Amino acid sequence: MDSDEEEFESGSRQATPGVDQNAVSQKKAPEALKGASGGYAWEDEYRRSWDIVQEDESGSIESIVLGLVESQKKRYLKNITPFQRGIIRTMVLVLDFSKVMSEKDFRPNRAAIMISNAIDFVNEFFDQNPISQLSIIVMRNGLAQLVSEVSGNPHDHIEALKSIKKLEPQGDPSLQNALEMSRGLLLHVASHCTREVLILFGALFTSDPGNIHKTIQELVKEKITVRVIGLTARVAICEELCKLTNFGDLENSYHVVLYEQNFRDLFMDAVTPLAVTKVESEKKDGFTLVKMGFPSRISDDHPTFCSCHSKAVYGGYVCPNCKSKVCVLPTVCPCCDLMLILSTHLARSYHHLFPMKLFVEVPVAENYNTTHCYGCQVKFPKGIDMSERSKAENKRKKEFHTSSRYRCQDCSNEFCIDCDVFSHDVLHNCPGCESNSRKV
Amino acid sequence: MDAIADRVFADTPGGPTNRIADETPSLLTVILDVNPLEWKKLEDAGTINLKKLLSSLLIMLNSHLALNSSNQVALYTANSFSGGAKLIYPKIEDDSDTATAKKQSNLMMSSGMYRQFRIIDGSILDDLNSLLRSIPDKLRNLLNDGQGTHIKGTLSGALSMALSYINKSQKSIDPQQLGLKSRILIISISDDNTLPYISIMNTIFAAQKMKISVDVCKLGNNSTFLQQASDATNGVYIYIKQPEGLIQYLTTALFIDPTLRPIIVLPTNTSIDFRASCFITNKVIDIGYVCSVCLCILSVIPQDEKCPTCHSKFDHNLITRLKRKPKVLPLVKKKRKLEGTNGAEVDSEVGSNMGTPVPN
Amino acid sequence: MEDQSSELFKSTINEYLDNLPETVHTQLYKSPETCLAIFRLLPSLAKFYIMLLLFQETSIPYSDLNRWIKNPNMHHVNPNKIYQNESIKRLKSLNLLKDIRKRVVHPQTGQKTEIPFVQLNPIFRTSFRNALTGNSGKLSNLFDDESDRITIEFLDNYCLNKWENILHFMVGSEIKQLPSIGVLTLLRYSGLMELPSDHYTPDGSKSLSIDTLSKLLITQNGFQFLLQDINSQIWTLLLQYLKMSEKLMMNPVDVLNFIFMLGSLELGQGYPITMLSNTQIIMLEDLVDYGLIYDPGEIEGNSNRNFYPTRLSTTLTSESCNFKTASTVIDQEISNANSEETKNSSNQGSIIIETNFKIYCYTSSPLQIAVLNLFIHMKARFSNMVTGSLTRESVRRALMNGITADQIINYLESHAHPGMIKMADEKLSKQLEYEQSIGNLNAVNELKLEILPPTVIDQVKLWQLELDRIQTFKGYLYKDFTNDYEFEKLLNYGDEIGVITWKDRLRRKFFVTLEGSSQLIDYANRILRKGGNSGGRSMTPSTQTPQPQPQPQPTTN
Repeated sequence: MDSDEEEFESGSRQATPGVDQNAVSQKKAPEALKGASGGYAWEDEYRRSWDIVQEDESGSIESIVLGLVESQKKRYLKNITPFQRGIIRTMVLVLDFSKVMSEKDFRPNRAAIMISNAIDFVNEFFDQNPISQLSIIVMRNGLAQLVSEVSGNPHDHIEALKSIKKLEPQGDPSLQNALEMSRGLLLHVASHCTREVLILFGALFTSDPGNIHKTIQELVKEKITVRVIGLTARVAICEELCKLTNFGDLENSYHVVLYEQNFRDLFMDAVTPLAVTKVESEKKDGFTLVKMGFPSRISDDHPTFCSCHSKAVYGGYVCPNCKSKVCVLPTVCPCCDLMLILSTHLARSYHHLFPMKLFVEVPVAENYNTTHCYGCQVKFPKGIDMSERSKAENKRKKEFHTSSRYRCQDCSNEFCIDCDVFSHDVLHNCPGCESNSRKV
Repeated sequence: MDAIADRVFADTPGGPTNRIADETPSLLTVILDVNPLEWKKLEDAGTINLKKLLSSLLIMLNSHLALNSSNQVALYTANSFSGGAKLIYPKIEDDSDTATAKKQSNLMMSSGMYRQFRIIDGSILDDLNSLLRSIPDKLRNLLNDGQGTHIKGTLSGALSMALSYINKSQKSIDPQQLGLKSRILIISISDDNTLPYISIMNTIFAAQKMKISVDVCKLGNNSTFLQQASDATNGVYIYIKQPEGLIQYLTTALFIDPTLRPIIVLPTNTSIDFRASCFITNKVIDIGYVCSVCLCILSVIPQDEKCPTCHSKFDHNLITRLKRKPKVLPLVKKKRKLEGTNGAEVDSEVGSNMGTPVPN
Repeated sequence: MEDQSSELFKSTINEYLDNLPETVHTQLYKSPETCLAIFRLLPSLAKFYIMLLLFQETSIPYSDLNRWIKNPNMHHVNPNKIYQNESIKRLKSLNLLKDIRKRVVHPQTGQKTEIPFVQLNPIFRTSFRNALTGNSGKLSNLFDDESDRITIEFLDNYCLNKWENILHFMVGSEIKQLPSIGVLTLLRYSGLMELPSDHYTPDGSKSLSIDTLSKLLITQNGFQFLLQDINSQIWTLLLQYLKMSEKLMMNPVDVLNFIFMLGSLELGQGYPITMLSNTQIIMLEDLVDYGLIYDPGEIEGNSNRNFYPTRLSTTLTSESCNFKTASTVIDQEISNANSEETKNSSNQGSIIIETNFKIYCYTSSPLQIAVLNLFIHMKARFSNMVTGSLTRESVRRALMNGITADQIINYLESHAHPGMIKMADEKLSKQLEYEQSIGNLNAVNELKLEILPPTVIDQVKLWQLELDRIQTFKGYLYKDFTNDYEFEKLLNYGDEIGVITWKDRLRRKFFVTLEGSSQLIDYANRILRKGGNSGGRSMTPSTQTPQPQPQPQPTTN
């Protein structure tokens, strides 16, 4: 990176916000394709990893390596605006299993990668949306085949996915057939649930028995949201499909995979429940309030019959309304129609609704106020000698120097990168804010 | 491919797994509730005081260290009034480590103790002592401050910190930390309503995901959430009404090493109360209304027909249907509504014509 | 049967302790440090049982111990049960647990029955409680001259140098200074090394001059010894030392107490020699030779002489895998990178092995390279790493030297790179989760941590099988049962406790391991008594106590 290139970089950054969006959009690369210097990624100069590494004053490369490692740890940068989201979801996952999926641009081939990603997706989906339901369809030989019925049990789906692993991709895909089948599956879904279709589309065409545009109109009428992840290139019909079923929001509904990790990331993005759009919420007369029961678990010395499967089982859950025993949750009480659920199931979705604020990276400085991470008590590195840093030869490495501190804006405690990722990804709590006994 | 990966030679039964069980070091993280008001209550009731508990706890920590020389302990306190959640041990080593502190700890402990125990116990006692000494003043200040400050329990904070610490140790490839199995013990005396529901639940899921057992030793009143916490994480929940034999509980039922868990029957009861708490009234309820947008749990239908948490407007028709008096409803609905509002009355009726026998 | 080799060495100390007479046990349990050390050597479940009984003043029914054990499947072989039996057996042989029979009146029927109760050894209970609560006053006078401290780095360097010197001598590499005569005598006595002449006159007790001893050569046992981790190596030698000390009429209680006390001392701290008994002072000098203790000598005059335990001794009573703590120290040393010779063998966790049998080992210690060279075909050496591969020839060469496949595998496993362990761990937990989710409990029980690629493990074992077609077990053959009932009863019990190595239902014969036989005979006597009481069954005396006949049992694989 030469100095003039840096100038170009900073110049282009300054230019964008001021200018009219339309005028720039031709020049500016789409967000996903953007390289480090603001142009397309392939226009970037290739950066060799060993160019970056330089020894510091004492001849050690430790601090640089530390910075590099840290920058590789994916910082958690999701949108944290607390949207209204459709938490109780019903989703149909449509997998392309046509001949193009045997293409080997992903290793070992597209279909295998898709299936293994899908298995992870199912796990993650039910982990984060415990009261939601899923169904899986494949497009093969011009037909849509049902792989697993709509159900809330992840194991059914995973077993089903494993069983189609051996299936050879064949024939042409038919979007229309798949969409019609999804429509059929989503027809009976209650009004407080979302209706979603997620399509993984590898082909660049679709061979349909009828007019697909009519099907799309039907989907819009049924308020079914369709999202597509393309594996090859953008296809006009998918664009239309997404645009119409997402109230014109193409940006968040249609993606094309760039590379393997990107495929996975896009797939996993669908785990987060969709935000309720403004149009949608205004159209509606209001949201529903669902009556639910929170049963207690009991254990018996002798097996008794459960009211859901009429099987003799030892333990179970007792409906607080009619005191009948069911053996699995969540379910609808077979006697009194009350929705039975564990409060823990609900609680698992809360972090979507009340997301945690992002931590802010503390700027590099000579001295810091804190010496230890508030979460794990790991010692922070010391400040860097600023005078040394200003020297010309140190300029290059400075971008890899970090303070290694990330501060919560509410409680002003500082955390290391591991705790930052952990609290946002897994814990969904800020240890600092929770430790303060006075609520702000 | 899979067939190649299968092993031809089976190991002798029991051998290797137990070898691992015998030698895996473990980390015991204790979270101690030091809410002064609750302790006062317990002390007034004449059951137990903090001092007694501490002496039992220290013996437990020593015993844990005695199991294996690489075992580690950590202690957090959760205080609802001053200071919040705090790490007591291991001490953060300061650059200005003074020898005087060490001398003090030596004075506090009986000198005949095994060295490692003495250092740890001394450090813990020192810190707790200074904490306890400062508390009366702080409490007084707080009370003088007026009622403006809202005070919440910080158990979730202590749990979050403990989990962050364990997360770090799971990730690191430092040989001292490698393969370290961790568990958490909560000694709680406060009531459920002091706990921030969402954060507690979040910590429970995190623990579940990380496969860390959360054991609970509950003094005072029984707790629903902590029961759920131990249930979800394969932990032990023990509610102690007579804390005289506390040491026996701490060194047996609450002393099951993570490596022994596959072998030993956990002394926990399997009937668990899974009720939730209402977001408005903070009461524990078994039937409630759930907002479909934000999933908040309500025990009553709000007057303005708006969700109190996310302010979504509810469907008016639906609300009226839910609110309708039993008389007007068709038969099925009637039954539901009746029980929802005054469940206790109707319970016996419904129970009597039930086919399935329900124990308890 | 050859077990995992570190187990073997660790179990030898247990065996030694088990076989001590009760009076010695009682003497030993008077010292809290010894109690703590013995406690640490127990299996986890036994530790749990001790904790269960420790704060219980009265004895508890035996059945209470059983209540804690899960019975996962209704299958008659319950590995948990076997583990429990093992644990209880250990406790009993150490005289920690005592059976008492109490007459109890049945609450409902009013019948008087005898119920077995268990009780913790009262002396052990008092001492161990004191250890945990800090009531003992023994170490109180050992204080604490802060100025006199010797740095931990110095001690680490010192002890590893000493110890490595011995190992280097064993592998025959060039060393500056020979180990002391005491060390050499012990090496010869323990059969780890031998003189060429020993083949003709195997008499280890005769004392020889250092010149003769310097010509010692390594034996098969010596090769096996080299593959152990440091901790079990030290224990091996200490045990030999114990045996030798018995011959020299040293008091075993004194010796053991001293060894166990070392484990509870603090690293870097000096302790006055005056606290030791005469026997222990003799020992002190020997232990200095192994690097277990640093003795600065009598510089400051006799009155104030101190000795310093090293890391080797303070970690003696910890479990073998935890000696990895030493490697952190070594890491520091490497970063200091000033002296060539301090690079050492205990740098554990440095070997990466691939499914294609290639091995990479991050080490620069000539000792570790020499050890690896015992069974690996070395390819290249870099400044901080060596590469090589396991080949049929290299493994066969090792097998010929008397090293077993299990030892090779165990060595590789215990020295595996942390990354490999982590990977195996993750894989295991993933599999566990999956199997549990589909409810396949049998599979859950069979899952194991696989640090090394299974292909490699199997291949090494196969190479061994090429050499030995016959496996020998020591044990007893049970035969000549008069009826099926007894045969089945005993066989089932034996299966349950996992001691049956071979059986033939048709001819009513089965073969029991050496250790299992006594348990089985106990059981046989029990059912005999029951049968005798009821009077309904006629048993001939010859079958009730089957004549144990020690004989090796060939089984073909």
